[in-house]
Amino acid sequence: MAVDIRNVAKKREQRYSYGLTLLRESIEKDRDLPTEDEIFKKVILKAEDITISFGGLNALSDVTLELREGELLAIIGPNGAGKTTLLNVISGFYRAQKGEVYFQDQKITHFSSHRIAAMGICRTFQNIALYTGLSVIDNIIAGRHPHINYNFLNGMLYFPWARREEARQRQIAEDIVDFLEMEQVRNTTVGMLSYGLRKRAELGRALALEPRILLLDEPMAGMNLDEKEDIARFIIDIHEFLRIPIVMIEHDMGVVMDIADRIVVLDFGVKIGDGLPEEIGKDPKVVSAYLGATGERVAWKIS
Amino acid sequence: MALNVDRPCGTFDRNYYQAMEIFRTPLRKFLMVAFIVVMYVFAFILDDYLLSILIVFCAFSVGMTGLQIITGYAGQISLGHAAFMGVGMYTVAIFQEHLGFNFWMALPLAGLIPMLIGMLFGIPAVRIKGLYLAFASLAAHFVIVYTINNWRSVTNGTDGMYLHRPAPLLGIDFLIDQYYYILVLTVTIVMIYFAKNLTRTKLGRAFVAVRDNDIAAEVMGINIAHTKVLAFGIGCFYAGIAGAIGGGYYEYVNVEWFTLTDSIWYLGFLVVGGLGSIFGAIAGAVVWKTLDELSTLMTPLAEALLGGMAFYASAAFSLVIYSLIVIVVLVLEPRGINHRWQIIKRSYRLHPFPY
Ligand SMILES: Nc1ncnc2c1ncn2[C@@H]1O[C@H](COP(=O)(O)OP(=O)(O)OP(=O)(O)O)[C@@H](O)[C@H]1O
Ligand SMILES: [Mg+2]
Repeated sequence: MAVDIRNVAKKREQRYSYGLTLLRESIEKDRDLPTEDEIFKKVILKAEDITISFGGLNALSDVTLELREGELLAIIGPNGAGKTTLLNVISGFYRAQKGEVYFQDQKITHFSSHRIAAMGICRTFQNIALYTGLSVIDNIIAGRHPHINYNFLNGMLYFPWARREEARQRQIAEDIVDFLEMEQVRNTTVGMLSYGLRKRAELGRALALEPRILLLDEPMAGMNLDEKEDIARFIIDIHEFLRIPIVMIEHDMGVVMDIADRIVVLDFGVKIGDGLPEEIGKDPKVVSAYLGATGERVAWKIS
Repeated sequence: MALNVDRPCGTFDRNYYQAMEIFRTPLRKFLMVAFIVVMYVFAFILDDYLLSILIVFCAFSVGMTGLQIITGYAGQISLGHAAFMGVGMYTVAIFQEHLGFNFWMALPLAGLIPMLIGMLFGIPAVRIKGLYLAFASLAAHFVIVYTINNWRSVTNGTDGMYLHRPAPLLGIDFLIDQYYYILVLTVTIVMIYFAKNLTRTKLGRAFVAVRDNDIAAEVMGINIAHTKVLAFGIGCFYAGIAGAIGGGYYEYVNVEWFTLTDSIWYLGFLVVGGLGSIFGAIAGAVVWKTLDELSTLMTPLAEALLGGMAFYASAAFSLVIYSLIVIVVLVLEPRGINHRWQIIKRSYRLHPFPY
């Protein structure tokens, strides 16, 4: 069963409350959301000629990736193509042997991960990497870390301003919990949640960081149809309401074709395609590399 | 999915401040206040022997809370915790003897100096983990003990040093044990309150984040090098304060009091109490020092039975009992006394329905 974008749209209309308003307020305090004429034009993230190899294996060779303001970019490619590696290079977790990463025209190739995150490049992980001992709400508040304005001594002494700041952060976190429809499990330790809910909590934690751009590594992998539709809905909401450009690695071609503005295709560490969904769906190189033997059937479904 | 019973039913948070409270129900607040009052009243009804035990409980609760911050919250191992307690004691003694500080002036230094040393020895934790870190932290123990033993002009070497309790304040003479106990208890309550605040605010969450998933923490904007070093610093601050209030009680300190074995028992009884909670730290300290006391009480009995062998027998006895307790707890309740306590509270809340 594939995700039906019409279902997603219907569910979005049916929502009575959206949440995220507090988060948006908090974001707008620091910066303006992108304007209409910046959207799809201004390049916000650029990874240039990234090359990285592990032992003899070329995980990425001269891969260039551009993300523009307001864009929802999907990265697809077979297993081991280097998709996750590319995100790891962008978030400063792997060091590229060659190539540079620019974020808003600033070179961030050698920045440490926590600094890159604090600048607003936030991500989720393919294999969930939550703080297992904390509850959902605490995971999300932990994601607020760079935005909390008091030092540890104020926290230890629990001065009134620290207490107020904690309450404000909790309020924003609760706003995210509402948005993700996780009110029921907000105080549950994440280790006890189902896989789908854990992925959702991880999305919440990334949101809490007030992303300037959001990198999602297979946000829907291993989910059932309902859960996938929910996640698709959240991604579209985040994208529209907060105008956050998103890079999403995803194997579900149906979803990718429906929601992505642009698709980049990786194969064996090489970029073999980059274009609008309808172009990519027709590209014979992409179809044979990625879609393999069943390519024809899928290509037919796409068109 | 487990039923969510982190508080009695009927208790709802009406605002965010309530959700952040330490004690979320009036009953718990009342019980806590009552408990503290009783602890103070003990000063006037217990004899000096029992007060000495309570003072030891207090000092080690503070020390154990420090180790809880390092190990239980931030997930780092330290095999030098007893030595840092020693640094706290010696700091008071040295500043009193050589620089004429009084107890009150020396007390913060007894926290800050172990804190700095702890941060220094915490630096390896930025790169290494687990067993390797345990070995690296051994260095702290040996360097500290070596320094105290050999820097004779300052530390008196193996002869030990004298400490002085604070001078009488507002007519309260701290040379009388019951008043000194009140001082120790107050410092303990304040330190534990601070620790509780730490764990429910920014840095405390960063500690747990680093413990649970340090790679994710780094990619989520937490400077893990910073966080780990600070965990060691704060933990050793606690160890130092614990040493200062304990040393003040004995009015003497000797380097032989801080053995590697003590540091290991520190870790062992932290596990017994339960990792990752302040209550667990206190429970661990109390169990440890209760066993200590029991084994001392056994000595006359052992002497009667074994004569000259008694000294070795009672030493061996305490080691065997300690080890047994740690092993039994690890097998029966790997998450420590704290976890058992949570289960008891839970079943009380759910009563009469077991699920
Ligand atoms: N830390 C590492 N050490 C060694 N090899 C690595 C490392 N990280 C990635 N690789 C290798 O690099 C290649 C690309 O891996 P990557 O995880 O980026 O693939 P992917 O496109 O995300 O695949 P999937 O769809 O399975 O997630 C793989 O062959 C992988 O084994
Ligand atoms: Mg991957």
